[in-house]
Amino acid sequence: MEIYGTILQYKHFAVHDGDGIRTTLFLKGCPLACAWCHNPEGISPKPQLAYLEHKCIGCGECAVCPTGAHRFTEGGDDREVTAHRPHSPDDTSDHNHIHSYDRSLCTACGRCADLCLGGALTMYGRRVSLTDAANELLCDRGFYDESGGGVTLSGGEPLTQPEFCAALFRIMHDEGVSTALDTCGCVPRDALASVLPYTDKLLYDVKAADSELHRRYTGQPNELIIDNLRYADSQNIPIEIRIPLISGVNTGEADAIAELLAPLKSVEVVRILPYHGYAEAKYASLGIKYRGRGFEPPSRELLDEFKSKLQGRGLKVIISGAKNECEVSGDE
Amino acid sequence: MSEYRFRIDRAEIENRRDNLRFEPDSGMAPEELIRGCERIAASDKPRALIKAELLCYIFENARLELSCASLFADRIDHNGIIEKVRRGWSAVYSERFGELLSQTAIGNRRGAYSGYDDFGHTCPDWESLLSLGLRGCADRLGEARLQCQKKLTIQDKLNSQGGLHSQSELHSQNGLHNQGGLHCQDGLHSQCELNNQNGLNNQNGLHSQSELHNQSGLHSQFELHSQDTPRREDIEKSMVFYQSCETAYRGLIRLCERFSLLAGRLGSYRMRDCFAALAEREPRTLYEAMQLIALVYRTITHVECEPVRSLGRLDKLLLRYCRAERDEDIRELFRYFLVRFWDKSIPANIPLTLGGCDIASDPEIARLDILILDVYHSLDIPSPKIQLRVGDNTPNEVIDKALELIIGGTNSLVLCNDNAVISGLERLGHTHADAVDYVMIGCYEPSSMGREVSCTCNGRVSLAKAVETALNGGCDLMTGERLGPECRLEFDSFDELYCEVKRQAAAFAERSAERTTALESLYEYVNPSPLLSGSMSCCIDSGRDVYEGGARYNFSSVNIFGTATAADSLAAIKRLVFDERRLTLAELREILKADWSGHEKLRLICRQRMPKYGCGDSEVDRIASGLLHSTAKVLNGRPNGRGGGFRAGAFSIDWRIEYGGRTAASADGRHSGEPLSKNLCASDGCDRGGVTAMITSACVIDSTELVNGAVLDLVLHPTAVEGDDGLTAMRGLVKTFMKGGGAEIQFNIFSPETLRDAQAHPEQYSTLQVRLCGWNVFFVDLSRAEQDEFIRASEAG
Repeated sequence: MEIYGTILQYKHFAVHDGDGIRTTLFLKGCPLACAWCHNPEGISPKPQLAYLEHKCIGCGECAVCPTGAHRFTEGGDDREVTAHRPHSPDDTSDHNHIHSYDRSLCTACGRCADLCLGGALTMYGRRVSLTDAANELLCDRGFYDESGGGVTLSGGEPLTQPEFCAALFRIMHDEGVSTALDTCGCVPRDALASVLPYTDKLLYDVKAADSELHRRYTGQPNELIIDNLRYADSQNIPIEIRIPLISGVNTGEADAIAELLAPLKSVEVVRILPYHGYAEAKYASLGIKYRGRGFEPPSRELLDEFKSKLQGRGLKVIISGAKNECEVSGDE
Repeated sequence: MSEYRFRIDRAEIENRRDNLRFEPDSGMAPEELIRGCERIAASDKPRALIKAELLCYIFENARLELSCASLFADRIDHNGIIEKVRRGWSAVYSERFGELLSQTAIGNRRGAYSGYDDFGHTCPDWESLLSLGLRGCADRLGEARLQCQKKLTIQDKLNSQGGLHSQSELHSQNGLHNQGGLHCQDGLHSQCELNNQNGLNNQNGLHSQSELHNQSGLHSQFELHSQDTPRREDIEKSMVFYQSCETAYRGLIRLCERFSLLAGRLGSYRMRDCFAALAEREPRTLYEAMQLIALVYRTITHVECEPVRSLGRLDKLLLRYCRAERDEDIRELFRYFLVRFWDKSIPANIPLTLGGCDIASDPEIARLDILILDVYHSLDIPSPKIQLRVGDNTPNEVIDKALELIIGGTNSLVLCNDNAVISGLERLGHTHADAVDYVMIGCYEPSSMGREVSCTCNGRVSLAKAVETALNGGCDLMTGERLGPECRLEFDSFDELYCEVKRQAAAFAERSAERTTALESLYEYVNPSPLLSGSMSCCIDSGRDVYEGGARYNFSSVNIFGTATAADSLAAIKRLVFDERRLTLAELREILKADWSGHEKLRLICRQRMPKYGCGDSEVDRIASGLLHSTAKVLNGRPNGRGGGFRAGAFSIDWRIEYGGRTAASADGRHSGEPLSKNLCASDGCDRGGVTAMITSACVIDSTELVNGAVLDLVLHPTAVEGDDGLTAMRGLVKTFMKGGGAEIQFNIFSPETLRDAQAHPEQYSTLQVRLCGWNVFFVDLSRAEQDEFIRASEAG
């Protein structure tokens, strides 16, 4: 029987999600809801329609909507829905009116997104078969071979769909393609254990060592995450720890995190991902409230301090960022 | 210390470059020089001789420029005289082929095809120049001329012995004489040189004059077996050729003497001694070799007016001189040398080639390559541009060094796949040894170094226009003028339409080649090239100018472009007209004629939702490769007008903007007048699958039948290739492209944010380079429209 997964998107030429050139497949659904989340479209397991109002050109193609969530009306509209007068293409006078999108009517069937000509509508949460997913991932295998790259599963939280992940990785291994799993760790042990045997590299998120702090900002305590991390560490799979660093939220956690990581034998590197505020528009397009307002990226000094505390415990540290000068490795 | 000194000197070098000042009393006043040249040009001698005498006169009399801040001097006040003379001489084109030229002028006017002469993509025989020096070259030419003289004497003698002989009698007589006569050996000398000396010359590298003589001696063995005696007029012509070349080279020697004197007078003793040496003998030090290259580059490009578009395989040519030098001295020389080739008046950068599978295994070469790249990086100049040849044995450290430069924003680099280029050249008929020793001319046009001048930009063919005319009975959609063969307006299947597009493109290619071939038959009256040809061993062997087929390979080139625009248009037509039957061809024709007016939604559907080349969609990719294949087939090997053949390329330079402006709206959703697609790239903004899919698509195209250049441009955001991860990934892209058979690849790495900021604050970005077509420019120097184009491309990337 064919297995299906619910996915967000494929990202080809992913360079910073493991070794070499990779294709990252983002799966939908996540047990956490981090206040700073950069991929809010990945949180809900259900399909969602994103609407970027400013990209609407008023082509009117989305009027196919079977439930009438997209409406085009002359003049004003008082309803509490997204209403937008698009910059219509010069000759579509028949569509030169207000586009309103009523999310409460939307069943996220995705038909409008397939037709949208302005790129304003995007469907998050397509169901794909294992075979289709594997084919898409394998079309770049020449690049994996030449660069030592492979396939990465990320999300959302890929392990919310463990059967799909395990089957996909098994195919990749049969094809000789290397695999990496990017997980938040907040998943049942069985789920993790079923995928690890086909995993060549683990990218493991650690947000905070303090459980209460963790719960406050992600919605979940971290005991299960830490347990799973120790379990994964015992499986002899190379691990890259990823720490999103948000000023004033977890910048004080350096010592505790170092304490947690130092005894682990499979951790090869710790990558610090400084917070950035670019995701806000995504929240708006999904009709979700953004809870990250007021968060600040860590200052250069805070980053350096955090890094040196980890290095002090013998960990190799990389700071990811938009600028080359942020790239420093721990053994320099 | 030396770096500090260089910084001071560089300011002065650039100042002198921008405010050119010839030493007032170093030569004739311009008016006097021009008058003298006019007298020479008025003579009724063969044009090769007139040109040589002009060169010589200019070399002996023009004012010179020399700055003690530089280590090199090469500029002379030639006043563009030779170019003016050539313009006059080229009137013969329209006198002889006026009808053909005016009948086919419509091809260029309507953006379908063109075919012209091309004297602008040359590369002298650097190996011979360096090993013989100017005097050695002149002596070699003098010797060849004497041999001709002897041949004529012999023939005269034969004629007087036998009384009145027809040509055929002469032949048979020679045959008899062959048994025992010494005379014929001499008579046949040049023929045998052609057969034997070629290979020897180029392999040995270093020839003293005596070596050459010895070789001539050996030839007698073979000469006995030769069949033909050269005709008297051919020998006379060769004699004129040798004489003209020798005159030009004697003039060049005189120029060195004059530079030496001037340098002494101005107090630059190092330059004085260098020029004195170059006037006497072959270069023996790195400095002398570089000065010779700079001088020959400048004089062929600017005085003789045949732009030299490669400084050669610089690592291979210069390694022998570097061995005797300390690293810091090599660095210093390269600083002064490379900066000499950065000049805003140069239209398209001066290339040099590094690497290559025949030398890449040599650790000394790798070291030199890295050193050159390092120095080049520190100069931060867009010209010269560097073409790095990548073979299976190229060390990763060399590739990585080049990629680091590219990632750092020095993107005046193109990476060339030895495997693809060499097998492409072999398919055209190059021997393996000659193919392996290729150099990249201009942007990415391979030629065997010193053995060919393959005019790389004779003609153009627009595939996008071929789609337009196929839809419109062979006529231009906007003006109704006939451009291609007549064809019907309705097609029963997509395949029939596809075949018709190929037929139209083939007809364009034929027209383009016909025009070029016609002009080439007149090259001897328009552009004899004593300086260029005089350097080339193969021309001395054949006794003919390089523009009269004197080189070993004599190609003319036609470039096919608008590939993605054409393929995407056909893919959209296939789906909308033939598969889904949403509209008829007749309806589409009217919509395109009206530039989508009233059908914006359809245009958006064509633009956004139809399959596109460059996204790894094999159906569209095959349409693209099929169009290129069938058009290239018409060209490759088709005889040209100078004893060689045509070869095809697939690059677009800025013709895509020019021809796009003359192309009607197309079914891929393009508006009338918008640019066509670039090189092997997807249509602007249509590489939706990202760089890996783009590379996969480009590799469907067989680059070995597009030898004149099949380049892929990739735009990457800096964050995509930052850090060690980024470097590894980029090397992976390059290697996958090459393994897939791609020939040339180049990168632009910048973010739209940076470009927008540079647009707003040009003063802060004076050194930001972008790769424009095959060369680099400073972003801030571009027009607003061109800048916007780059910003759009970077957003898509």
